[in-house]
This record gives sequence, structure tokens and C-alpha cells, in this order.
Amino acid sequence: MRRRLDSEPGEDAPSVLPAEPVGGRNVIVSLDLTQRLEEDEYEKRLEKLQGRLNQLSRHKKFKRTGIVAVFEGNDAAGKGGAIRRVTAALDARHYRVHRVAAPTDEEKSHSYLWRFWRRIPPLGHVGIFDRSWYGRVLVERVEGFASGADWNRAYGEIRDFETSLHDHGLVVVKFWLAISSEEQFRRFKDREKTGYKRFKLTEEDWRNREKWDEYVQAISDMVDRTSTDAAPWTLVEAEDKLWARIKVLETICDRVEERLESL
Amino acid sequence: MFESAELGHEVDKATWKKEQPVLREDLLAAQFELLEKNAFPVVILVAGVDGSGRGETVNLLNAWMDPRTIETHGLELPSGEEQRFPPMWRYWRVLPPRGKIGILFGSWYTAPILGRVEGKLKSGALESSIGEINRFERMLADEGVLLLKFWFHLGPRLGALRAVRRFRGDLRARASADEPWPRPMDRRRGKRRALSEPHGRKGPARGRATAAR
Repeated sequence: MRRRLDSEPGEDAPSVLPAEPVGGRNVIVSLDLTQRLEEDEYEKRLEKLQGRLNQLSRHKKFKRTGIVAVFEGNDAAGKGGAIRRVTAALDARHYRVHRVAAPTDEEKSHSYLWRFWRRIPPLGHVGIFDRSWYGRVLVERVEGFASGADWNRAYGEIRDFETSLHDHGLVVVKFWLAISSEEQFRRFKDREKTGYKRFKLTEEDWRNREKWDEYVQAISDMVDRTSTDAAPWTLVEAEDKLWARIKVLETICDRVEERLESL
Repeated sequence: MFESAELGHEVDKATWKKEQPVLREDLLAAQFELLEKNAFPVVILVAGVDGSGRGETVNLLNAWMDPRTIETHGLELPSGEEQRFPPMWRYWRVLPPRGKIGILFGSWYTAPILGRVEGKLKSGALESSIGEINRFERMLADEGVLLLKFWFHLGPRLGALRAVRRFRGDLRARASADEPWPRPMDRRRGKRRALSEPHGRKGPARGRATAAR
């Protein structure tokens, strides 16, 4: 203890990742954001999928598995709306939604992943994360809240973390909800105008727009480095909210069905 | 494997009397500075063979230092409730925050070691468990945790002797600050022993409860 207390802190380590997309392309800019659904098609498919998810969650083998669902995406991409369409299909006693924002003092005095380990659901339950442990390699990386040493090691730590969830039997689904910069601007403007939505918009949201390209790079690195067989990323074209919600529900149903069949 | 721990290391009473107060003062000073600066978390893993004095030692630490910022955990076999969560979950729960000290009886080593000794784990699986443990501890270190790991060892002869005496209720299990400690170890070297940490029993040494339940 004495040695550590008396020692000096070390220097920061430089990043090992490229700063720009190679050849101008990455998984984010290559998304086809024109995907959309008609309203009545959406209503039909929504009902079927919510029914399917409900059945799966009440399957007798579901208590030997569970779901960890991570929702990340641009501001105003529609994470909240997608989450609501998922929880509508589930029994409230068996799911929890965790909104992840700036860390509390207690969370800051523990290791980074501690705050997430506390919220992992037991078997038979569902844990939904509205923003997540990916904060370190997204906002903390871009805004410099985390040192280079910290966010560079985070990719491997996240892979290990998700693998241990998977090995225990949980289904880990991760969604990146993507919208274009123009669409985000339109939605921000709408929020400003609408009384009950104004609280959803902050100075920070506008500031983040200035770093759009850096975020694109960070997101692309995140997908490359943390998409694994145990926990693959699903990129959701969220320009059309209806399309996005259906894609989210379908993915969850498919993955849970796959797991239940293997049990 | 444990040869250097079976050399009959010993501390005589006079040295003990002289060094004890200095040690205690240093420990308290370090603990105080740790708390004041909110410096980093300290995690102490305590493992070892039966009768080796783990419980006594930890009780001594709690008596010498300020127990308000030390949490001691007995992590025996996972309960039914704990089994619903991934195995590492219950260790993450008890990790201390910055400025505090956590003492763990039983740790992320226990299951792989036992698994190997009981033959349930093939050597490949043990290797990969050790790999995971190394990455986990690397992360703790990168997050600033001071991780100290202690294996309490007894040679086979003394270990057997103590086990018998404890069984007969002869052994004084209470360790208080004024009693002479540690006891002199058997000088004779035992045969090489397999790694073991009996887990089917009810917990560490009898006497004062060591695990915070």
C-alpha cells in the first residue's frame, strides 16, 4: 500500500487505431438509410412480433436463458421508442430498463464495468440498456473523458464481459440505431418546437453534432472490435422509425428462438 | 512447488514484540492516507490450506486497522440465488470502491482450482480459465485497483496435525492481538501435495466469525 500511495501516475498511451475510415468506407456510411415501412404493414408485423416475443418469454425453457439488450445510437435515433415496443411484449416483473448516463460518485469510485455488472439480469429475466458500457468507446473517447489508455483497452474488456454473459446462458443482443445527420437535425428542430418534447433536447445534443465524423469513426471501430459470435452487433437503419422497431423486434425474436432451440 | 514455503520460517517472540507496534502504526497510516486521498481500491485475496491461520490473520488485520473501511467477505459455494447470475457477478458485487479495502475468502480462483483437483476440469479448460483470470486482473490493475493475493501454506505434516487437533476441539481458534503469533512451523518437509482448498466444509477456522455475512 505504501509503495502505491507514494508513486507517481504514469503517462497516457497513444491510440493504436486509425483516425479515418480506410478508403472512405466503413459499416456506418455504407448503411442504406432509405429502408422504410408503410404504416399498415408496420402495424401488422408489430402485432405478430410482439406476440411472438411474448410467447418466447413465457416458454418453459426461458428460465434457463435470459436477454441482455443493448441500445446505442445517434441522439434522437429512436432508442426510447424501440425499447417501448419491446417492453410492451414482456411481463413487467421480468424486465428492467436501465438508462445509462453520466456516472454517479459511487460509480466513479469503482471500476468502470462495476456499474453494469450490478444490473445484469438473472436467468429468466431481461435487462435492457438504454446506452451502456459502450459509452467508454463512444462519448468518452470522442469527448476525451477517458484517456487513450482507457478506451483502447475497453474493446477487449467488453468482449470478455459479453462472453461471460453469453457463457452463462444469456442472449446478448446489441443494436446501433443509425440516422443521417440531416434527419437528426430535423428531429432536433421538431423537439424544440414541441412543448412536451423540449426537455429531451439539451445544449450537449447540439454540441455532439459538431463531432459527427469523429463519432462515425468511433462507432465503426466499436462494431469492428466488439462484434463477436457470442454477441454480434445489429446495425439498424433508423431513418424510418417504423422500420427500425420491426428490425429490432425481429432480431430479438430470432436470437431468442435460436437459443431456446439449442437448450 | 511449495518448497520455499516449507522451510520452517519462524519469528521469535522478541522480534515479534519489537516489530508489531511499528507494523501496526504503518498499517494504520497507510489506511488513513488511502481513505483521505480516496486513492484506489485495495483487494486482498486470502486462500490456502485448512488450519493455516487465514481466519486468525484476517481477524488480526481487522483488529489492528480501522474496521470501518475494511469489508471481509466469505465467498463459499454460490447460493441458489447467486447461481442465477454469471459466476463473476458475485465477485464484482463485493469489489470495494476507492479508498476502501476488501478482503475475500474464496475468489475467482476457487472454482477452477477445485474443478481441476476434482477432475471435472481438463487441463485445457484450466488454462483458459487462468487466461480469463489474468485478463480480469489486468483490467482491475488498469482501473487502479491494488490487488494482493495471499496463499497460506502448511506442510503436509503440520497440516494433518492441526486438522486432527481442530477436530478434537483442542486447538485454540481465537486469535487476539496479545497472543503470540504466528506459531512455529514444522521444520520437516512434507511430500509434494496437490493443490487443494477444501470447500465442502462450513467455512474457515472455527472461533470468531471471519466472514461478514
